[in-house]
Amino acid sequence: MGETFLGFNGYQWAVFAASLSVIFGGIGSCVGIASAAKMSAGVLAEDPDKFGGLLVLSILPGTQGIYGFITGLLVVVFFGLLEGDGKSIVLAQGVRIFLGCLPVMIMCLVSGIFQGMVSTAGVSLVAKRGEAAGQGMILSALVETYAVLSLVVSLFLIMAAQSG
Amino acid sequence: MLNALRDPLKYGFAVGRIKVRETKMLGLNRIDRLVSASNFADQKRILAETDYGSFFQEATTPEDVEKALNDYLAIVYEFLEEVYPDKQILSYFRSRYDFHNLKVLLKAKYGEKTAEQIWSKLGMLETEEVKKAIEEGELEGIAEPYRSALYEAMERFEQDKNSQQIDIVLDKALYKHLYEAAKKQKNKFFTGFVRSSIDLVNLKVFLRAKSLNRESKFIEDAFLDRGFLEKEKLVSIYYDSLDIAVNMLKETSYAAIVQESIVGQEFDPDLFDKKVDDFLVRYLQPAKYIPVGLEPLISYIIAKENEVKVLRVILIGKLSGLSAQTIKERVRVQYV
Repeated sequence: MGETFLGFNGYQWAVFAASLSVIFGGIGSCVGIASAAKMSAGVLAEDPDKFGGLLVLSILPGTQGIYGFITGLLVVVFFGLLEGDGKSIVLAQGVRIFLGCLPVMIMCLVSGIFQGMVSTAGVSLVAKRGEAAGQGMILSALVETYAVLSLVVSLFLIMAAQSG
Repeated sequence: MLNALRDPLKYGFAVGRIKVRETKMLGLNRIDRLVSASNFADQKRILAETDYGSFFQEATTPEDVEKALNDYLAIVYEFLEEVYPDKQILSYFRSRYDFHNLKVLLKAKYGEKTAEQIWSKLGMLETEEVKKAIEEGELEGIAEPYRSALYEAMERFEQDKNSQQIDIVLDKALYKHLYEAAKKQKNKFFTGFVRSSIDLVNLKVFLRAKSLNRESKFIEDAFLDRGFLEKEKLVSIYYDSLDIAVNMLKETSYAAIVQESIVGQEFDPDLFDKKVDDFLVRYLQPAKYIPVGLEPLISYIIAKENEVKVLRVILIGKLSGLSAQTIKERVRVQYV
């Protein structure tokens, strides 16, 4: 088994990091999309012509889940979690991978939910003025920035952990 | 924070639908056109552009207008029943019509004539059943809180033979019910709305009783609890001049309503009603900027009822030959 920290060895920390990135990013996106999409459905029930704008608004909080997925997948690929018993990952490296994934885990969870709120407000804007869909999208995309930043930093940290 | 997560999931669909419907409301522009239209036929043409159109095709008399507006409101409530996730909010608003119906029916039973009509489709009680039950005095089949209110009203009437007791008892039961329903929603905006409505009813009773020179015991008796205003304070200034009342109300948001509804030294109840409606619609206005939640749902109902009131004033005013200027003065503030 080798050395452990809090009961996990290096390999397990890496798996933990990959899983939580996907889970938290996914939760953020699910909540965000659900709130925007539910209200969009109400608007569409009255006015189906607004589908285009509403679709984009509802889909915007979905990127956080994708960032979590990318991070998780990179951990799996970079550190060869698919093959071998993972003995190659020493404890220090495993913990570094986990810490490297933290920005994505936390930021994608939080920004996904908040982006959902802004998108919901955007839906309410589109319900009133259909032509304002673009403005709603831009506002919602502002929240997106911070999810992207967290993804960039997480990727660098994972690469750093790989190079030792 | 938790509410911010829950509200879109709970109310999102309903709010999405009503936000679109809100854009189809009459709006200031149409109201202006309706007011300045040269006759009722012109008004009908303007209404034909809106979802009111189909209700007014055959209308020619004030009675037709009343009927058309009631039918319209019934359709609005049908729509709300379909989309609102929480039927309790609606039952709150519909119970107002029920209590109103009970008042009319009870008064009819005791041979009191009233000009008011029954809102058969807007309440939740089956009017025919209730009518029969009240006439026969068999109230077992009627649901609470209506039943106990009816018992009390009947008892009080038998003692006094005064139909005002019916109003007092049923109003008290209504506002108690409304307050409790609002409290259950744990929504400040909603409870604030109910408590303000209670205050405004109290103020109306206060001013009316004053202008009719009634004893102060009357307002003590009729005072509704659970508002923001304190009963003792109002009773203590009952015999003072109106200026003192206005002064005391300065610290609340009602001073202007009272001041503006006193013409000369006389209290004008119709003007007061209009000011109250304006006040409540203004209270609801911030809800326009809340993207999702209970607030837009409540505001929509009140805004729609208010719109119907405005239309009634405009259409019946025009039918009875009032000038555009007079109608304009009577028209209420609009939500949208």
